[in-house]
Amino acid sequence: MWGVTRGGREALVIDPAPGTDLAALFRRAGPAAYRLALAITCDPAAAEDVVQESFVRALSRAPEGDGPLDGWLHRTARNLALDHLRRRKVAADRAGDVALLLARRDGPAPDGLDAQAVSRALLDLPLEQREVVLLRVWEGLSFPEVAARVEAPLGTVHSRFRYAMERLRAAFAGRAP
Amino acid sequence: MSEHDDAGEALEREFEDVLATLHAFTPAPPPADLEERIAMTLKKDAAPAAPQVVAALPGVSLRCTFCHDGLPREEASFCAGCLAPHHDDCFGRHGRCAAPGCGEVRLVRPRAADQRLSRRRPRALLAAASVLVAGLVGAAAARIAWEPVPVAAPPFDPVRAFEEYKRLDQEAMAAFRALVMAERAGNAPLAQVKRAEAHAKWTRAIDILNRILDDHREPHGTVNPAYEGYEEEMGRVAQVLVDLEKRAQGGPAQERDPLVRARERLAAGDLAGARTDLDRALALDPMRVEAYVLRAEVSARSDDLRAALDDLHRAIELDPGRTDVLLLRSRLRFDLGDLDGSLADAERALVLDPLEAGANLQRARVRLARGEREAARADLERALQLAPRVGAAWSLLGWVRLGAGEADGARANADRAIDLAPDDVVPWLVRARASEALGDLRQAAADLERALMHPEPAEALARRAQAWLALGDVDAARADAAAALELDARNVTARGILREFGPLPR
Repeated sequence: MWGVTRGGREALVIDPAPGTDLAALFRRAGPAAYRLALAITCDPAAAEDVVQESFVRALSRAPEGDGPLDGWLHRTARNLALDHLRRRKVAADRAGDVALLLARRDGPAPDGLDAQAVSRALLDLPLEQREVVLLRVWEGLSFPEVAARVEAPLGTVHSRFRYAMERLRAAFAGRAP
Repeated sequence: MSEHDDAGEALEREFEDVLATLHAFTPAPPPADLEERIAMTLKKDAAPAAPQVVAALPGVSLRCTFCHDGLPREEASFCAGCLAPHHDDCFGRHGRCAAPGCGEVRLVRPRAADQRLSRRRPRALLAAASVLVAGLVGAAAARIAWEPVPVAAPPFDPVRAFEEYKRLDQEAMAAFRALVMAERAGNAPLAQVKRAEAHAKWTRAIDILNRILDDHREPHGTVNPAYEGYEEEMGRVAQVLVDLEKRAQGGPAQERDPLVRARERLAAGDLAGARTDLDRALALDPMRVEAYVLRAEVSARSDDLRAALDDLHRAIELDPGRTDVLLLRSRLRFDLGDLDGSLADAERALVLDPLEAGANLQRARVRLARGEREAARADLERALQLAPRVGAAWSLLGWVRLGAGEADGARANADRAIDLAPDDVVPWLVRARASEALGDLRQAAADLERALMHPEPAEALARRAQAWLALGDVDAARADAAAALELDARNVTARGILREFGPLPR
């Protein structure tokens, strides 16, 4: 067997899995991982770091087909983002970053709401509710798929979605939650 | 094929307006150069043309990731996901890789040819390894070819089996609820699918219980008394299957989901009707957490706080991770005077979600009531860092600062709270007191007047009394309650306040 010594200790050195195309994987899973990391950390710089680290870890795995890689990538990004939050002692003032969370599609803004207002409403949601909204609304996962991703019962996911919607409805109507 | 989720679809219909707003926006894309940065990082970390290798030279032992015993290289198999070494039977017993965060269920080992190569030519391999360490690109190296290792099924584990049973029971109940919705919607094909799904899952669930019980039967066939609970559970599931079969034969009439109806009735103020529907929902599914939470709301609005508390206890027993329900219970316990219980719930919510602003706010309320002003202040400041637009937090912070002699700061905080929640009585009272402390008696009087928001004068005074109580000013509360009763001797809120705290001394 081969071994490579680094500093006197055996180390594991693995190629990127043969046939794994970073560009294809990034196209497929990169934006979703970034959106998730941003929704959790509310910090674009931290989200970039999380995505970068997730991809490096994913592409350093054992050489298998990339069948389970997307789900693994999502879990890794989520865990890294949560680790980032735990390490942060004080939540950063997000006011300056709020507008970066969302962009408006073409067309008039509904009810005069701008990206900043909607982003702020999303940031005011508890993390677990925000995550469910992101996965259902923008990632297009079904509720059962969301439940599998966040490792919670389907009923709990429904509840979180409901509470999130109620809070967002109140926020959009201009009332405090 | 995706699972049909009627409850989810109903939720989305209910909140179509919110979803329409959200869909008008798209989340920000990652920066354009992120992919390139990842590619550069990978190039930096990977040795150019580095071969695929596995840790440990021949003769150097590894450790099994599961049992941590020594593991000779020749006996090692490796996780297909992260290459963590395992004994074959350890991997099989665990059912998956034991490395934290991995969870891979496949096991591999290098093909025999590669093993023979390694045993015959250790020196050559060592030499080549040195070359790699030296960083020379293109060093001759053989690639490892892997072959799968069949994983033996783990021995029957009754604890795991019962977990599997609970999962099946929950999924079967979800299918049953979907069945009811499909029948209500007149969707016969879907109802048939869901009926079959529920039947299949409950049948498997009973099989698991049977297997558990078989392992714990006495020689004469009766069940070990410690496992009688499993027999009762099996009886329940068997009855459910019978009911399901009766339903298939045109049994109980189709009905609308009582929980949905209860919400509508609650929104319309029909507390009695909502309670009837919720009782029915719980009769159909005694583990339906949402039904307990809603019924608690019905009880609280009917001033039966004890019954509300009982339902919240049950909801939390069923789903201990629900921070929103913990916070409801914390508020209820606070209202019932159980400050210790209220604090415990708020702290539990914070453990589950340290970033939940509502939990910080609730803990602040309790700490304030216990006279722990500095601790309350820290909680309020934390809540506002997390959620700067919660008016109630600004109000309370203003009150705390007023108590610390910071009248200017208190007034600024009250201004902010009024901006955010002008219909909340409390910030007007905070600003009134702050203005008074600053000598601005006209503003104070105006704010006190503004705090009388209800069109009916006695009720306005009673609500202002409640707001004083929320701030802990019992004397002011009693004064307003007494004034309310002079206008309307039947005012329930005012009578309740004076009954609890007594009239003002003359």
